[in-house]
Amino acid sequence: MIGYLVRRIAQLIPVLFIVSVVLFLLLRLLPGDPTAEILGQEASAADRAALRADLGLDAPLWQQFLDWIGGVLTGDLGRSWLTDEPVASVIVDRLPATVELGLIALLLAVAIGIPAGVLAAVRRRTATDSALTGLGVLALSTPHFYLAALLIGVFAIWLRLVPPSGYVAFTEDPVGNLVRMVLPAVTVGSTVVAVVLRQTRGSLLAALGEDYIRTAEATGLRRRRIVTVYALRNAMVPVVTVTALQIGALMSATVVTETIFTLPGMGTLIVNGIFSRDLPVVQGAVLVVVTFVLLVNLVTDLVYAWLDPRITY
Amino acid sequence: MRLLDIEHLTVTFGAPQRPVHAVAGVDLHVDAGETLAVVGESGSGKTVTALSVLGLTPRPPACRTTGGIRLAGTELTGLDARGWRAVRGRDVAMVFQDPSAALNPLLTLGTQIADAVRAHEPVSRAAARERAVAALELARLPDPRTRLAQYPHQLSGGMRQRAAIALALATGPKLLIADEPTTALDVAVQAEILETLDSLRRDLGMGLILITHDLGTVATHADRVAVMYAGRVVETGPTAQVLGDPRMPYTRALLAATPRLDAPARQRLAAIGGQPPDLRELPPGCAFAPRCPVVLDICHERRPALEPHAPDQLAACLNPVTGPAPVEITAPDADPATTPDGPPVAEFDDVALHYPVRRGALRRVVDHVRAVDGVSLRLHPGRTLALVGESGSGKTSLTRTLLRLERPTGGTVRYAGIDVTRPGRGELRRLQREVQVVFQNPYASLDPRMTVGQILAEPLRVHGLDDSRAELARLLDQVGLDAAALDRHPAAFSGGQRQRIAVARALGPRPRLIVCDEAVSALDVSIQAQVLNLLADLQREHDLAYLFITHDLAVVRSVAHDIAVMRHGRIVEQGPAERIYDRPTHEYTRLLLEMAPGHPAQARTGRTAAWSR
Repeated sequence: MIGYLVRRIAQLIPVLFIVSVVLFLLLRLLPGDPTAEILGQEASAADRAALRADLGLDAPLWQQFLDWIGGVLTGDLGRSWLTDEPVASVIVDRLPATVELGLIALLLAVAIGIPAGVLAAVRRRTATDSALTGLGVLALSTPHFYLAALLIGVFAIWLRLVPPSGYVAFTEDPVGNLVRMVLPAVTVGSTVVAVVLRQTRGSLLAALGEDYIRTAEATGLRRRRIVTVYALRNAMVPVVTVTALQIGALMSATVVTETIFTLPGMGTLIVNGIFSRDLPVVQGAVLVVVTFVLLVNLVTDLVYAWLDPRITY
Repeated sequence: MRLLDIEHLTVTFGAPQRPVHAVAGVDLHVDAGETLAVVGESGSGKTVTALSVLGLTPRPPACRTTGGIRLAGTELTGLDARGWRAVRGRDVAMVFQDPSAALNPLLTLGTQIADAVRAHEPVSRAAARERAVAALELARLPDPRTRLAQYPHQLSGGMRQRAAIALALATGPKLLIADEPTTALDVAVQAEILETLDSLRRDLGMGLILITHDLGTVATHADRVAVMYAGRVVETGPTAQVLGDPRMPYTRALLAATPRLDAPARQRLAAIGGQPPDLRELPPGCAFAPRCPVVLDICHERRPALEPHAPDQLAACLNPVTGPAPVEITAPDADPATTPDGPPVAEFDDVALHYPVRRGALRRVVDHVRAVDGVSLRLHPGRTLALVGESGSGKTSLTRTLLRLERPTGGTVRYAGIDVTRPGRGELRRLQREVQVVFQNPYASLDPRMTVGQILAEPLRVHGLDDSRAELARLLDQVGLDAAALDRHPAAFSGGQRQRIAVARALGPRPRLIVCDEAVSALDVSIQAQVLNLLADLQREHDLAYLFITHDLAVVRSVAHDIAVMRHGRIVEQGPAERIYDRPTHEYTRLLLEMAPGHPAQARTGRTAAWSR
């Protein structure tokens, strides 16, 4: 187990290196001159050249890459070209909103998706099942920007239950923070809830058809215990898989949602960084996100082993 | 004392307009302390009958049950969900066929057994676990207390079945139903499990219903037997009487078709012609009439009732047969035991197949699994070499080296002089054409999306051979199927028919060697005989060599010229079939022979008299 963990973490190193190279090169392929974005179109050629030299852009590409990656390895993600703030502190500022958004969405997905999936499976081919699976399809097929607008319209503008947008740090005002987080989390979570519901329903139905369920029934166990312990546990491995995959998808979903609800998160940070050619910020932020997703994958594999004693590493 | 009384039980599946009677008017009874064997081939209704005693048939409207089931004086039909739950486990318990599927893989044995106890009795968790220990002990699982914390995958197949028996016993049922409890197990373990069930029945005074397709098991372990066909009981009575003097032609045919250790070597089995009945389209008369050798005109019109034909012996037949001789034995056609001449078609020379075992963060090789360890064999044209061994003995791994699916880590494998690991140009094509395989499970080995024609044509096209419709029809004809089958999909065929299609596919490229990997193990007895006879005929016709992998020495009795017994990756004994059957020298071979159901050594209860007449 420890050996497996060490090996898996060691495997992350080449993956992260390749990601860094690709990320760095892709961003350099962006059309346009960063100095023009930073100084504005009217800046003189001399000013731009001075800035290029200042940012190190006149060095060969490999030199620029080595400078950056060398910094990353020593914990220095560089400075923003635009504001000269350290990239690391920018990320630290932006991370909490996104992490919170993702966590609440995930919590909703698990707390609603799994029970709803179980209910749909147990009441298979009834009105309950049809209603739940129907809602699931609806949630999957509604674009986030549309759902967000709808939620704001109903709950913020019409019912006035929550403010339409804005962000307060959890440490400053926990209640105010949560109230503002509800709508964005529901927006992002809707897809995950639907995916978890469908997967739970499907794999629970498959598990309920297994021989060991018949054995459990033949010993006179209650239906509730058979479903929740004997079948559901066996059905969880694929649910964990899709949930983990959704975490990757969540990261891109936050971009739109953060913009609509004006949340200061990683999604808006990356998008704005790309538009303003603030490449060090984009590089740093993407690298953090990629590392996070890779770690989620690792944790998922460990969860498998916890769920299923037949899986050993 | 009458324990179970089933009266006119009918279980119907499907829509009322097109009902399928899986069980059609079955009467059965079991006394306390008695073993009733229910015998029949797949689809005969034996498992559905058992499941209805536990109320585990699907709920209406998918499935409807009528008739009466009385257990220890209580009528079970019409119970509600709560009533059934109280009966299951406490009054009647069931042991299922495949213990690796029947136990929950994610829960420990302790949890599963204690759960069963607590479903019926208000005892503490600790007390329930003590009961689990006692049950595991009863089922003769060594070291019961440490088993509580173990998961099913940590046990061997036989131990898993013991754990399943313990799960059934924990709540002290009056009736135990064992549905093919040994089919999925190795021969050596089979006998032990049956012995355990036997002694539990005796010691606890339980009634035991043993569902099986194996007449050898019936002969050695049952007091009475009920033979089922197409959802009905067609013959029933004391075991010795039914097996010794069967009145229903189906029972006789089943007896004749069963491979037996004491049969003459390489003699054709008396196969039952035709196909198993299709419950959706049963004939109006006797369901066995289309396959019956002594059928009368009236059999096609009137359905016979179960009537007494001898004391205690009931049979449903309008033309019952009597006398000890089987109805019809196809002319014994034992071919003389010739000694091989000429060069061998395949040679295994000191073949080894070792898999590295890696441990630790650096994945260092710490050990090897010796799947095959120094095996030498020769296979001659026109002869059958049976490779016999239990699961995990390495027999399939060995043949995989011949098929180039594995590269041996030592030794050489030659086909017709070609080193299969280093075939030259053209030699590889030849190898791939002349060595074919028939796998165990015809449900998995035929692509369900392809028509039979496409399945047969594929290997022919690969080798640039004639794949005309006429050629495909000729192939099907060889295995006794009609050319009309070419346009249909495998799903339209029964297991036996599918295995014929698999044989036809193997024959297509005109091979010289066919590897049969448990090729008849998944088939019903009557169909098994058909396929074995077919293989023997084709061998004579085409001078084929067979490498026949099996775990069952009785099955290869009718086909094997030579036998090699494998264990732990090594050959423990090899030689001509007659010699191995008559004078096994290695103690493991002797054990396998003795443990095979129906072997005289198992006549402990005196019940085998009828069997080894």
